[in-house]
Amino acid sequence: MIKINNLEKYFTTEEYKTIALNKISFEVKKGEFVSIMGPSGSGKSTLLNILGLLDDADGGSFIFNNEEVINYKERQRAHLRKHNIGFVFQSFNLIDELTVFENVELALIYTGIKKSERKEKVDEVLERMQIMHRRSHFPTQLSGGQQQRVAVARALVNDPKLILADEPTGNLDSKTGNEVMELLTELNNQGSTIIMVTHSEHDAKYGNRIIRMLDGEKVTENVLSNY
Amino acid sequence: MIKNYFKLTWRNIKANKVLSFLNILGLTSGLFCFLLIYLWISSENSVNKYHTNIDDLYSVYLTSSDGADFGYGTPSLLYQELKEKVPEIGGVAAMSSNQRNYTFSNNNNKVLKQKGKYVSEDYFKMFSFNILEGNASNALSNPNDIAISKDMAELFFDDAKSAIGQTLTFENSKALKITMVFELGSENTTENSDFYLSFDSLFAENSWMSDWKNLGTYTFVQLIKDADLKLVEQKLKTFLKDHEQVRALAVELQPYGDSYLYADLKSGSGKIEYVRLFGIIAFIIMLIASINFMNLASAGSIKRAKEIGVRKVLGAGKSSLVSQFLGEAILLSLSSLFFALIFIALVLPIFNQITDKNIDLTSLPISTWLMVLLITFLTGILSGSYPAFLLSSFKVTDIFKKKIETSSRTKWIRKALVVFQFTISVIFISCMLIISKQIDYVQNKDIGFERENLLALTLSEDLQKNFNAFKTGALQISGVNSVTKTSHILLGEYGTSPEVIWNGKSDDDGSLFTGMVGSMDFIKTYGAKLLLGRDLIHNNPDNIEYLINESAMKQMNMENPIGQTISFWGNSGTIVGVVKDFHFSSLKESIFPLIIRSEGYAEFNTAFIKYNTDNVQQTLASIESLHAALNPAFPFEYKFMDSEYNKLYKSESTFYKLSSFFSLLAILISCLGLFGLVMFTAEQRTKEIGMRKVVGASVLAIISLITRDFIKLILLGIVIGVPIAWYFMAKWLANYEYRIDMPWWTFIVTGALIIVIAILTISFESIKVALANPIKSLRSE
Repeated sequence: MIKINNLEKYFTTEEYKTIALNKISFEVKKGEFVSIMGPSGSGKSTLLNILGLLDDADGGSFIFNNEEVINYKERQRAHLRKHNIGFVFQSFNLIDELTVFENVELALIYTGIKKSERKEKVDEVLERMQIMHRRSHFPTQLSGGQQQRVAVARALVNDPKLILADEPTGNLDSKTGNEVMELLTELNNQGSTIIMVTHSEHDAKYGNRIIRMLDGEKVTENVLSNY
Repeated sequence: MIKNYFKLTWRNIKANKVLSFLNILGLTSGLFCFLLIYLWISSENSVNKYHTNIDDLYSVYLTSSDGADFGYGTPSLLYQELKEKVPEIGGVAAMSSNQRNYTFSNNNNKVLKQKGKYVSEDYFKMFSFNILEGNASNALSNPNDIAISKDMAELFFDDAKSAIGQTLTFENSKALKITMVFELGSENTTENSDFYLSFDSLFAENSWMSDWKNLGTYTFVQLIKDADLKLVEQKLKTFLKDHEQVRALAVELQPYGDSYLYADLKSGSGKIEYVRLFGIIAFIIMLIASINFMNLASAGSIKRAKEIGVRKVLGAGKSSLVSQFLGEAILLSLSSLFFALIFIALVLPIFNQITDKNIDLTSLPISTWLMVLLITFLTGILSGSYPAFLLSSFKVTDIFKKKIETSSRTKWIRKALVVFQFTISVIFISCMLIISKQIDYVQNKDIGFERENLLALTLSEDLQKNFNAFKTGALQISGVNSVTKTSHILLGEYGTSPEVIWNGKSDDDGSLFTGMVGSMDFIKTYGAKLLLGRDLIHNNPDNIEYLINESAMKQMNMENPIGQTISFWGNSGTIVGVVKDFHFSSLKESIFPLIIRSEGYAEFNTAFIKYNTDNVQQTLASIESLHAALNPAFPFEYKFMDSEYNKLYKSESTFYKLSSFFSLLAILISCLGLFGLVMFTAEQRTKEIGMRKVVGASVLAIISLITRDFIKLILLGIVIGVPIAWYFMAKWLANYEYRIDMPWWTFIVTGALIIVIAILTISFESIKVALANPIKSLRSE
């Protein structure tokens, strides 16, 4: 599903050029759950941003669904993103001024789905995330775990081919964190491809494979289980 | 999606109450000013344009080849000749050039003064009136016919219907038959006559009107449909060539609709200057309000960053974000419009009073409302454009890393916007101060005669005959000091003439003099200063006395003028006195050489009474009863000279009142913008401020840290604004022959005022930031 080859990314200031990703290459197959680990500054979030088409790479190749997307323009990327990728963030990133229902619905609005269909899909995913009873609440009225469930619901509502999670349990206590990890595993079992960046060895082990990074390079790759 | 935007806009307003309040307040103030000025400009632009034939109506004016004589005054015989000789002219109307108050009475002895004019027969066919009774085509066909307004009909009779066919006594002398009752075609008109009389009757009674040299009549023409204007203008250039006395004058046409705004024929301007000026002010205020919105929206942008990030992640393109933010700005503009309209409705009565207008929100045409909506939309787009493009250009990765730092270019833009706002504020405030000083100056200037406690009384025919009795009676009233009579009210515009002859005048001397007729006690009553000789004492046609002013003495180059003989319009007489120059026109004009004759070319139509300040009411009542005894058929009509004097500066005074009000709003809006920017900066520098506090910076040091940068911008605004204001004010003051020196201190006052206001604005937010717990600010990073 994803194949990156010699991917490069630099951050330049007036005086310095920092290498964030140094010719990194790997492949993620459909239905896999890949954990990316590494210390702060190792480039894992940068990598996730590029995989999520939120950021450009400075070199190399990025094939998504058999298509080279490295030189995609912003408009093409936005199109690809909204139809294929769901995001889950450490800080949930829910819009405080929208209700739970509206936050989840937002992902469908940009894909141009009709209102009646939107309602059906949102309700279905909220049900699945067991958060239906909170559909009219605003994010600030929810616990961290509930907020992350909403964020996951929003990531799922479009039936994306790929879910990218950036430290999804970083802001949660261990019990709630485990619940979210269970949720992701379940989604993976149902066929979703997941790439997750994490600091936590414990969380990483929910995946099928762990890619470890240091200073913008892939250091090791451990296969934990076959998917 | 649109519903989603609406919802989000509303929730954002609720979530950021302070910011939203400032935003809506700023836009409301801006729209309020802009729309008020727009309504005024629309009203000014549509004055007199309601006539059905407006596209074919023209005012006639005359020019001389050397450009000296410009004016709407035309020979009284012109209208008939135009009608006969120019086939392209379908209608011509003559109108007496001055509108006067005349006394009318009905059979029940109800006596009232009403104002009106004499017009020729085509007048009602060319100009639009609502004819309530009678027939426009033959309304004034007999010399004793009169057309009266509905209001006048209701004053003398029950209503329009009962007035028709009745008679009214005119000036206690002749009976006039009411042949028509009309209503003005629109309230937005300069025409305000209560009645119209037959021009033919005026012509028959005044032999001087058959003289081509006399330019006492206004003439209006209506061209036939599809007439070639150029051809007509060509014909009119030399139209007067057969009339010896006026052959050098060319007849010109001005579209009638332009006559109101472009009445100053010589310069091709007039009230349009104020229309333009206010148009510029309106535009600038709207710009300041939009800038204010931009700054406040930028200030709020950090709070919106997460939302933008999420939307981008979910696939929102730049265009959809731009349209979202533009939509929000338009929505805010529309809600501001709502509030602005409420404020306009509240202030409109006062505004109408100040500007002498009759603007009514409920009777605006649909086109005006559409324009108002369009302006509001454009304001929204203008205000929303910068924040929209700024916010939508944030990079998602930066947003989620909380790394939004606007580029130096956008910082520069924001600073430039603040400098611009304060430059405008400096210009507005200093201009306002200077205008107020000049108005103060003209209103309190020693103009060379004592306009206080001076009463001007219209002399009707009976009173002219009985003037001596009136004067004797008036002087017996304890509050009256002296009484005189003149031909002019001494304030206004006068004609000039070269027809003055004195000893030693060279043949090529074309000096112009203003003339008026005065009488005994002229100097005493006016309080003018006598330099040489004595006051007028005779009103004897065989022994004409002349008073001249200093300028006339200089013009005639006389060293000892007393006793010298001069001739004015062929009447020879002796100079008996020289008065110190006094102002008899607006201070915009220099003092002209003046000759006051004890007898002569014009009738005495005004009496002047100098009274003292003890018990003025009693004095007035005594004069009124004297007037009633000597002049029973005419109402008592008088004016106070000091208020007449102030009327000369009515435009300036109105302009000053309005511009002060708009200046205050401009600075208020600028401060809102500044406040927003301080908030924005404080938010951006939260971490820095926290760090500084951790390492020991005092509250004062933090306040000065934030304030310093802004004060620099304000100072820059002052530095740019002062010379601009100086330039414009120097130009404006140059319109006045008598004016204040440029008051440099006003710029210091303006600068200080603006700095104080700015510091107060900035302090509010910076003290809040400086007092905040540093741990909190660091944690928030």
